[in-house]
Amino acid sequence: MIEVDVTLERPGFHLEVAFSTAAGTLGIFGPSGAGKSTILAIIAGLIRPDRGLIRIDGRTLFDAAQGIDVRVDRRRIGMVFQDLRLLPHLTVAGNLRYGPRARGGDPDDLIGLLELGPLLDRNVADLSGGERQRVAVGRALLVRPDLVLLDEPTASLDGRLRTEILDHLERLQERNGRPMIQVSHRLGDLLQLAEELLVIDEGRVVGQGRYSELLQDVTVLPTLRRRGVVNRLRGRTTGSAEVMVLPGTAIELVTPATHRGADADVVIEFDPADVALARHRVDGTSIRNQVEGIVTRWTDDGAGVFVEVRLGVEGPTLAAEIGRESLAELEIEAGRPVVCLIKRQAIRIL
Amino acid sequence: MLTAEEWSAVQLSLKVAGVAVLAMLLPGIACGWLLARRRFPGRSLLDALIHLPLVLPPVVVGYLLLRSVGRRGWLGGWLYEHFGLDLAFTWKAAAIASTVMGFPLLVRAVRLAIEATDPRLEAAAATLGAGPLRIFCTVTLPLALPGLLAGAVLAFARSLGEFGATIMVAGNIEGVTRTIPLAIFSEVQTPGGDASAMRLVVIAVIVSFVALLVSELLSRRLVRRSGGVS
Repeated sequence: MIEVDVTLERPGFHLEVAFSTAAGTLGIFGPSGAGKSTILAIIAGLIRPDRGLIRIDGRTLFDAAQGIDVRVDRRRIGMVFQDLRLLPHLTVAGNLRYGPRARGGDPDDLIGLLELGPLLDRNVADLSGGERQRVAVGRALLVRPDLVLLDEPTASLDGRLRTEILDHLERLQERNGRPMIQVSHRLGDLLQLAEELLVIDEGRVVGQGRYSELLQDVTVLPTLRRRGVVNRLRGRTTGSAEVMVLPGTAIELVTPATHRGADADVVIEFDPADVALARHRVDGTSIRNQVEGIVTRWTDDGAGVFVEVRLGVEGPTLAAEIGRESLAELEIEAGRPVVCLIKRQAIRIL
Repeated sequence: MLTAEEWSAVQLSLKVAGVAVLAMLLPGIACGWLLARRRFPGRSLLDALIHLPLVLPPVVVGYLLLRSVGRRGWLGGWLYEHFGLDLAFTWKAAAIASTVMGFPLLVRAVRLAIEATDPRLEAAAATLGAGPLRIFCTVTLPLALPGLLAGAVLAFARSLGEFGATIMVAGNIEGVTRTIPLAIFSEVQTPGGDASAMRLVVIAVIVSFVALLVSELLSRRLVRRSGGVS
């Protein structure tokens, strides 16, 4: 259980954030400058808040009222910095073993999981971006922290490397079970790990909850929208390079071609605005994907209508953004069967 | 090649400069770190005090030292009374003069080297569980080391050339406190001493040149290393 309730006053910036979570991974989302990284720095003890309380699993790290302020090195919080901060005068192994607590326990498991074994004797300056990122993650986790803070762990990476590090983090999460807080301005990157999202804007909490809940929350939606709302689904490749199946369902999607062979796990993204809804299957259209589903709910935030649709019977949900006129015309309401039309070109494979 | 007197001057110079650098190393690192990393009342005053020997006439520094460590000085008197230690007009007094004169150069170098090390790396080390002393020894110091060594070399070279303060507090006693600069001065004063002075001058130039070269090489390494920070 992580409890944070802090206030920080700086000229031109006011941060007042309160939340508690028991999620395995909490994703903090918000536009640049919203205060996301500042929250992490406060939890880690690198920035001292003016007022408030920080408690992790009942252990108080900061309590202004009682004058408690546990020193950074005694907080047992692992941090993966956005700028990584690998120690340039040490090798990979030197960085990994730097923390005094990193020498206890069995590091081989983690080193294997992050595929760092072959890099151990390398100089950190000679590593690629993805390798550095993995070293930073390994270093933070090896000290067996009570909580791991990930500040934009995908920011410096693109495409394939981004999903690669997220996959690594996901495996670590399953294996290690240490709670994590991940900060990102990319919603899609948070959705892979985070069970719960905390949406921040201008130093304040706008909303907290599961992504599907937040998409139906008119107070949160405007903030989500500003950074581009996405649908993020898991897929598995099939024998055909352009056809993907959603795991656990019989639903197939036609996507841009991949070259990853059959039965590879992939993550796909597409925008809610690229999903059209219809009452029935449509004939004679260029849209390749027509997936049947059931409306579970919808919300109107003034700027648009977001409809949540559950695909198939037990499939994943997705969000479709439609106009208000369409809402009435299609008679959208919970329980109504619809067909989701998704253009193949709108689908991004990560 | 060198006469016994010249050779003794060279040896004495190296000994005095070496001891001076060793003596100033710890306080120099401490002061450099304080000035680079801490904001405290009296910081400007400490900074000015450390740099004073750089702008004062060396003879003035020597005089002040003599008044302090001489047998009638506040420190010298106390040392003599309690330990029977007599510092003035010994090689130790020359080493003290060199320490005070070289100290600002070392502090300046250490300060710049520590300022050039990234405090974000220290913060990262703290999140890994390292306390302040461990961070200093394993992050700050190693990263600042080339700059620190360069500063030590500079201070060493400065000590080799120290004249004014030394002659005030240690005198010019052959074989005891007559370092290279004092020996050169004495030879020039002596009829027929020009050749001897010349030999010592050549040695002084070579030693100083090598020291500067080493210092330059080390600072270049520091720049390269701090530039390699991700």
